[in-house]
Amino acid sequence: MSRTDGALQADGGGHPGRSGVPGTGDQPVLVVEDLGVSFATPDGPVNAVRGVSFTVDSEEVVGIVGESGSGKSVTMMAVMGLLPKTATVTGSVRFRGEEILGLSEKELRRHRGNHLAMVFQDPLTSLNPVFTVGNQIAEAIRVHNAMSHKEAVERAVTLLELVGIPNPRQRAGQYPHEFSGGMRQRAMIAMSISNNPDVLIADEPTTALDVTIQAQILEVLDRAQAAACSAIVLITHDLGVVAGMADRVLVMYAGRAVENGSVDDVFLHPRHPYTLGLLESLPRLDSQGHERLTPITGAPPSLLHPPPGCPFHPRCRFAQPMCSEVVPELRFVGGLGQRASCHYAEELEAVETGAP
Amino acid sequence: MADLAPPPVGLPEPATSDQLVEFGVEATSQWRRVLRRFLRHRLALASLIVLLVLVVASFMGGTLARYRYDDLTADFSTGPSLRHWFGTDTIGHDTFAQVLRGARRSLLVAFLVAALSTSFGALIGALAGYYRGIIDLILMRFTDLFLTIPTLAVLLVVAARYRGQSGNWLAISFVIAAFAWMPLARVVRGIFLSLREREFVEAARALGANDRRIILRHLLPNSLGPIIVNATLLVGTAIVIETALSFLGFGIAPPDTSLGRLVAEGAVASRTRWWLFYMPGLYLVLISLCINFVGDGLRDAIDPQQKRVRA
Amino acid sequence: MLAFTLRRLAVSIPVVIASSFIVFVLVATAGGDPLADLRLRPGVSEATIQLRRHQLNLDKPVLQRYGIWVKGAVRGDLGRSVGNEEVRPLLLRRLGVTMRLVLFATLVSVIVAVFIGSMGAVKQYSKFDYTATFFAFVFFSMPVFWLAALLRDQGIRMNLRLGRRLFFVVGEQTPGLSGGFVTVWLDRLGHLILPSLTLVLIQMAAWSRFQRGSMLEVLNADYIRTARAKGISSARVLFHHALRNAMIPVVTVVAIDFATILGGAVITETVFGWTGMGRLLVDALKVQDVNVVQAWLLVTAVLVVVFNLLADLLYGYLDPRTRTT
Repeated sequence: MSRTDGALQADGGGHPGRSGVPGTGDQPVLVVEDLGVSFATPDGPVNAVRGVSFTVDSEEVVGIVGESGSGKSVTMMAVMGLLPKTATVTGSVRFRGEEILGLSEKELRRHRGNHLAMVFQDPLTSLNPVFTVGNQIAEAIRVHNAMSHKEAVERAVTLLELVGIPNPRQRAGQYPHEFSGGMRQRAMIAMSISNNPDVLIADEPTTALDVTIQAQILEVLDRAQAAACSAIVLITHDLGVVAGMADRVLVMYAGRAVENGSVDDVFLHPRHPYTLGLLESLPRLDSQGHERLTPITGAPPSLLHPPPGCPFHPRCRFAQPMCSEVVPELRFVGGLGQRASCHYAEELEAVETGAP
Repeated sequence: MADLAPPPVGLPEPATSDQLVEFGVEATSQWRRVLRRFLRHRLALASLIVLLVLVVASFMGGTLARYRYDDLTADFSTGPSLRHWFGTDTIGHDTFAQVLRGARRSLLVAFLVAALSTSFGALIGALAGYYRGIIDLILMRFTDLFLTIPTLAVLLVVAARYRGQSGNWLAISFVIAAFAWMPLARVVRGIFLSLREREFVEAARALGANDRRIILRHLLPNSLGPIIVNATLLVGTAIVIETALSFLGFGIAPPDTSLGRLVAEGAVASRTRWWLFYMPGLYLVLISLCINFVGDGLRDAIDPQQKRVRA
Repeated sequence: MLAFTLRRLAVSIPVVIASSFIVFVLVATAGGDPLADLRLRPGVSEATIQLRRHQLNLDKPVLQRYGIWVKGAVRGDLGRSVGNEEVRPLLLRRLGVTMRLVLFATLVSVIVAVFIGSMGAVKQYSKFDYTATFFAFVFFSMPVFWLAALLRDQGIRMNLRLGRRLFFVVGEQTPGLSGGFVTVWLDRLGHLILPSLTLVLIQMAAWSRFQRGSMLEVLNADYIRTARAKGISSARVLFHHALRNAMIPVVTVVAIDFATILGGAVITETVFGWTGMGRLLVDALKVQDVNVVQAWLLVTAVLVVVFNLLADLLYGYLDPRTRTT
């Protein structure tokens, strides 16, 4: 599928050939159902992801939140098909109705960088040090478009300008090590939207950067999304980022999806003890002085020998006997489309975090 | 919100802490883990055994072998047989005994070189890495300069002075050691340079430890791993260097013999009496190969690097 | 790039000077006694010995002797050998011969090593990888002299069995060969095979393992993941992105090992009877030919420095990050 029609317009105007109005979307762009990823290790199989389901509508922002090791990155890497051969992926991933899990490398390559693009955490190591930035962006374009090198570099310069890099033409001829951290990430974002992807996956895009740059990068992401009319899947461990940018959020713990819903619903009415714990552990602006932070006790479980039943039950202050026996399903609870995997999700209604 | 919200009505008591699942980690000493990893490396283990056999045979050979190296038997120029495992030479020497004798000398030189170079190299490297300054400068320039001249050439020049002098194996050892300590010194220097910036050194100093204590009790033990690996590989390098020198006629002189000299003598007759050339050569190659496998196994055991391709 | 080159050049010159000093002092103090031969001869008077000593400047302090020698060297006069031959032309003639061997062997080794090492990394833990690693160990555990003598022996045997001279085992060319450029060089190439095979087998073994490690590191790098995420074909990821980066450290290793290869050439030339620089050293040392030895070491040091300089430049070209330092 060539993208020569989608000349990137800096004002983010309409694109011919796109289905649906931003936001509502007749059909979700990405549907993940019961995704499971397990790695073969010398010590036995490790289930990094189990039974994760979520959807991404066109042009919406979905945040995936979780601790390190919760499986959030692995989930999206599985969607892109970028996991090593030691990984076994089960379940279903449908992009615009087409099943992409289990496709051959050749077929997957059609989508990668084209309809499904990814931005990684550390822009210094994610860019090839021996080629110029302009070259690398041009390469991303030429893989999926019949275009001369010169034309592609021109496009690259336009993209660099879009993401707010000054002197884009000069910069395009420079090497990654000549860029600052924030600029590198901008360049990575430019590269990822170069083919107007339907879904842009950002894997912890701000974690490796200074706090002061983080807000800028998020703003760039926002701008990029508008220009390319993409949906964004934003992977982060920072709840604040999710609150600020995302429309819907998926909370992951120990490889499972524990809560899923609109940001408002999940943040204001959490239906899973883990989400509750996360929200409670945040320092609050309106707290009265010397209040201690309330962390979640304990540590994440070993994925090699996960605890029986609900993976969170060892740390859950509401745990009941059933929690250590039966694995809770991700089911609908209250609200519009909010889902949680807790046996006692309804009872949690009685515990409110209090609106910010 | 001050404390945890009290459990709401309708839910019984909260979970107790013994239900917390922790990782089960048993504390094993670092060296035991190294040993375990080494033993898992089958090739290195097998090589170690073979190497021990070869070394023991070389040094005990005098008492074990049927013939002494200077025995003149009645069998001239016979090939390998049950009586003479490696055959005999023109005047009836048993080649097996000769090889063992040559190996004895070559191994002795190699071990001596490794011991001398490692001690000296570690000392200089430690001082250079810890104190930096002028010692470091001299060391680095010095080693850099000697990198521009082939080691073999330099050794030949210096060894030429002792050429043909009987009993020169000790001198040869010192000559080789004089140039073999440099790579090790650089390695130790590198380790010390990086370690001295670490927090535990700062902590030790804050507790009042003096320089000598820090070097000996903190930094040196941490460098022991690479030092051991280097020392092992150095034995292999040293034996190859010594035999090369002897082969060219600049190493161990008669009445002593070395595997290198045996190979040189055998090379002349290799077409008609192949065992005189191949036997000492294979013995040497086997020693060198085993040392390399063992050294590699040690390196993996001490510093395992999971270099599996990610995606 | 130009500034980078000039800077590297500027640094090289003091290195050569320092090397020349070390070399001279080494030979003067630790080397053999040039008069040893004379002393051993019966009927030679003390006066003769002292005269010779004075002629060779041996009665002057080391520093002064160094000065005399360097002045001569800069002028191009490196003295005369024991056989009363002018050292400089002798050395240069021999150098050409050795360079053929060394450069050919280095080039072939690099190409083969990069290929095998990269394959081993891409197909990690495969049968190819294990076999290649094993043979790499076998070959770099082998002493040069034994492998050289072994190939020579096997070459002779093969010749005998086939009844004709397939392998050349003596010298670097057939003496007195008449013919045009092509004939001469084909003959030389034929003579090159066994000696360079010796050096190649050992050097390639070491370098392929290094390349494998380098390639593995690169394949695990984040930018390779990015390249794949862009939808680039595996072939392009491998050759354009991975290999290009993996080869950079190899350049450094080749530069460092150049001196070792020269050492290997010394042994190989001796075994195969080449009239190159290598054998010249051995012969000169046997007769305590001080002038030749000193000149040899000087020329070698210059050679290594030049080679390192070229490698540095190549490195700077390949890795843009170093150009700013």
